Formats: sequence, structure tokens, C-alpha cells
Amino acid sequence: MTNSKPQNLPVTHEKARKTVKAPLNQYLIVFVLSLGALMIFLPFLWMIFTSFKTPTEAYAWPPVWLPKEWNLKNFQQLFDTIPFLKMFVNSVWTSVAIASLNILTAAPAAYAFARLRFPGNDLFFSSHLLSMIVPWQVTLIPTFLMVKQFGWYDSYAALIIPSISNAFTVFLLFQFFRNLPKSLEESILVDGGTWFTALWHIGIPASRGAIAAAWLFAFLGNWQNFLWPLIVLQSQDKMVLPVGLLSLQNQFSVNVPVLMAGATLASLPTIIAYLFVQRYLTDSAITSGIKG
Amino acid sequence: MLIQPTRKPKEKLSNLRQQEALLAYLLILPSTIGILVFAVFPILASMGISMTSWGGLTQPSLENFRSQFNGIENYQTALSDDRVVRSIQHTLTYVLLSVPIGIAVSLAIATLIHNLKAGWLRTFFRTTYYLPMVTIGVAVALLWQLLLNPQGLINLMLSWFGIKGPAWLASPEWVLPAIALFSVWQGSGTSVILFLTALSNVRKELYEAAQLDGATGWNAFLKITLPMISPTIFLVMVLSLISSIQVFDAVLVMTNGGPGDSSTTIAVYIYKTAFQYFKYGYSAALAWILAIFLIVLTLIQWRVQRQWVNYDQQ
Repeated sequence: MTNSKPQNLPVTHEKARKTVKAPLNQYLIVFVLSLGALMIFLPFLWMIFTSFKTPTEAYAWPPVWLPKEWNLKNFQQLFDTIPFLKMFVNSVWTSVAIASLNILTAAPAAYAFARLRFPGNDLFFSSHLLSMIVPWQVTLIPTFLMVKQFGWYDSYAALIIPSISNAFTVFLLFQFFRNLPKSLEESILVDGGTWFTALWHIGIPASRGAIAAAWLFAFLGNWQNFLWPLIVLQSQDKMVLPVGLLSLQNQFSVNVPVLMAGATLASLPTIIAYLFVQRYLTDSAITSGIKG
Repeated sequence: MLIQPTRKPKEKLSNLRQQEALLAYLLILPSTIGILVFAVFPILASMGISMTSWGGLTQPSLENFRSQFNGIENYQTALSDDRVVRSIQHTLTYVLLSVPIGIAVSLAIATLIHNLKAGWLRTFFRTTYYLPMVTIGVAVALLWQLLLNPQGLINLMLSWFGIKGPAWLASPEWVLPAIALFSVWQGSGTSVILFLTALSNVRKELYEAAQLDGATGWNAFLKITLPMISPTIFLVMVLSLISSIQVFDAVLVMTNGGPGDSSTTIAVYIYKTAFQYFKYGYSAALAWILAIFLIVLTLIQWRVQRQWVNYDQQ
């Protein structure tokens, strides 16, 4: 860019190193990235502002940025229309349950597939891979019918049980376990320990960070999930947030501020939680970077 | 009891082998049961359903399966179904808009973040760009429905530059670009993170060597960075192709396939065929056509990648 190019001139290694480190103007980078960040923040701000507006203000042209009056009328109307709090709690506990059960079944399986020798290893592992390759449209109808046959329609069982086994989590943790040095368990086995003690003392402690990350991904996946609850849940008090918001859309398509009140209340807790987790994730990434 | 010293280690070894296998079966049992019941069995069942004219009114039983079996009729119908052809066109339009732009934007963002010196700024921007991924998809889709309103924020911003924006979601020509724009906004964060990891793995000596040869800035990016991160570019390409071909949530929330059917993508059509028109057999056949297409596409990509992906960075 603006760098002077010392072409054809004998350059010392030191000099080259200096220019490599600052190839782009820092202020320019920050400026461009901030424009992009504004594109991320502006919609969220717009959502919050709109949740306080009157319908007339929400559809005014040219648009008004801030509402004339900041009152909680839209939020009041939201709570009067749908059991928002109940839906929020449903979303949290079912996502926590699915993610935890998912890890409890996936982590042991991933450990066995990655580190243990047993007849049928490849066969069982490929059955997991198969479920990853085939898109969800294929399994949707049969799974829905099964859930109905089991009498689970419109119950939490329908929401939770089919979602517990997730081959992606198995695969993610498989990759992690495979990269651990083989000598870890051998040291215990040579000392006369059993495979069970090896698992307890080596496998589980070594994988804490990876398991936390996999749990977060599983939680987020279910927190976002919208199609499956849309199909298997019917009663409003069992619904989870994504579906609840969608039902709000049908009722308030003309009253956008109430809709945005719902979107705001559904998004803010996640954003705040994410900011905390992000910090922890970054820290653990840095620590593992130093170790590696 | 007399113990032969040579036999003991062997015995212990085979004992350990048995123990290892026993432990393995215990560990894989819960996950494997779940996968067999809720993935492998439904896959097989949907193959069967796709060869019937079943509409969901009768009970799923072997007898009904026999009486409603129609072989490959659904697959033949699909190939000449005008609505299928149109939904494929919509899907391809969306894919061609969202995938290249998404990769270019996220690679640019990642490169800029990577070149920042201050660590806290890198963290700040990475966190910011990933933010839309963690908020509930339905909530941000509803939000963008508002932004893309003919009198919304997007058209306000365009009007600052003297551009009169289209009706976006209400316009048959602009609805797919509008959803693609939303998906780039929402989904770039994941690719940014993947690219950042790849960029930090490129060895610094390579740039220093290039510097000695006079390659800087843009040249170094083309000659070193791009080839070195090509495995990640390939990965991001495969992932975003697969997910954008199956685009569903955003469409269902923002337009429900409309106006008319101008944003009905293949995944939306499959869903509606099953859960609004109750043609289970036909929907299953369409799902299998999509599945086969996705698998073949992925296989082709794996073949072609050898010509441009560079794996010798280690």
C-alpha cells in the first residue's frame, strides 16, 4: 500500500522484519472495521428503539430514530399476549438439558472411537458419520411420525429425546481425543492400572476445555433451534422462545413495536451471557495456545 | 500355584484387550442407540416413505406401505414438477449471491482483524462480528424484516446516497438478494473465526522471505496468504454451500416463501409439501433428491480441491 518498497536493494533482515510487522495503517484498519461493527450494532439499537415506539412512529417516513416517549407499554402488551417468561424459562432449561445429555453420551463415545481398539469400531463410527452427511429434510418426517407414535406429541419428551444424540458433538470431541498423545494412558496401564482408571485420571481431566466448548455449541444449537419445536409443540405454555416469537409475528404483524419488544427481551440476555462466555473462551484459547 | 514367568505379561495383555473392548462398548452404547433410533432408522424409513403415495391420513404400517407403494413415481413426478424447478432456481440464485459475498466479506474482515496490533481490539472486533450468531435467529430475522421494510432503516441509509431502495421482501426480484444480505450479516462471524485461526497459523518466516524478494502488501497476500489458508477457504466454502443450499429459517420467518413463491427455496418447498400439503411420500422423495445432490456436490468438491488447495504448510 503506502509502504516504500526496497526492491532490488540489499535489505538487512532486521529492516525487513520491521516493515512486515506493520504492513497496513492501523488507523485505517480500525476505521474500516468500525464501520463494519456499526453495521452489526445499528440493527440491534434500532430493535431496542423500536420496542419503545408507537406503531405510527415505527412506520414514519423519514424514519424517526428515537421514540418521543420512553414507556413500557409495548412490553406490557407483550406479557399480556404470550407467556413470554415461561417461554424463556422453557428455552433455557430444555437447551441446558439437551446440551448436557448430549455431552454425557457423546464424550464417552468420542473417547472410545478415538482411543480404544475394539471390534466394530469403524462400523459404529460410520453410523454416526452417516447421520451427519444426510440432511435434516430426510429424517424430519419419519422422526416426527415416531415421536407421534410414542405419544410424545406436544410434550417436552418430543423436544428433548430425539435431540440428545448429536453426531457433530461426537465428531468434534473425536478430533480432540485423537490428537492427545497415546502415551497418556499407557503410562497408567504400564503401572498396573486398568482402562477404567486411565479414563478417570487421564481422559476426563484432559478434555475439560474441549467438553466445555462442545457443550456451548450444543447449547447454542438448541437455543436457536426453531423448526423441530415448531413441528412437535402445540400448546403455548410449552413453547420455546423462537417459536413463541414466530407466533407473536402472526398476532402483531401490524404492531411492530410489540414484536420488537419480544425480540429485544429474547436477544439481550443471550448477548450479555455471550460477552461473559466470550471472555472465558478467549482466555482458554490463549492458555491452550501457550501450552501447545 | 505355579506361575510361569513368561506367560504372565501375555495374559495381562489379553486381559487388557478384553477390558479395553468392554469399556469401549459401554462408552459408545448410549450414543449409538440414539443414533440408530433417531438417525439411521429414520433414514431407512424415509427411503421407504419416498416410494409411496402416502398422505399421512392412514397409520404408518407395513400393510399400508404395501397398498400405497408406487415405486419411483414420486421421483419421476419431481423431475417434471414446475414448482420444484422454480424452487431450485430460487435456491441457486440465493446460493450464488450469499456464498461468494459471504466468503469475500469474512475473509476481508478476518485479514483486517489479523493485522491489528492491539490485542484488545482484535478481541473486540471478533466478538462483535460473531454477535449475530448467538442471538436467536428468529429474533434477528424479525428485526431484519423491519429493516428491509420499504420505509425501513436500509432504505433510509440508501437515501443518504440518493438511491431509492426497492421494496426488498415485497418485491419478487429483490426478495432473494435481501435474504442473502441478511444471511451475510448474520453468518459471517463463523467464517471470520475460522479464517482468523488459519491466518494465525501461517508461518511468519514466509512473509519475511517474501519481503526479501520484494513482495509486500497485496502481492504477499495473493502469493502467500491465499495459498497457505486455502484449506480453510475450502472448508468454509463447503460448509457455506451446504448450509445455504438448505436455507430455511430466514425464509420461513421473513417471507414464508413469498411474495407468490418467489423466495420458496427447495428446503421450504420440501417442508411445505409435508406439513402444509400433507404429501409425505412426495416430500420424502424431494428430500432424498436434495440429499443425493448435496452428497454428490461434496464429493465433486473433494475431487476438484486437489487442484487448488495446498496442504503442505505443515
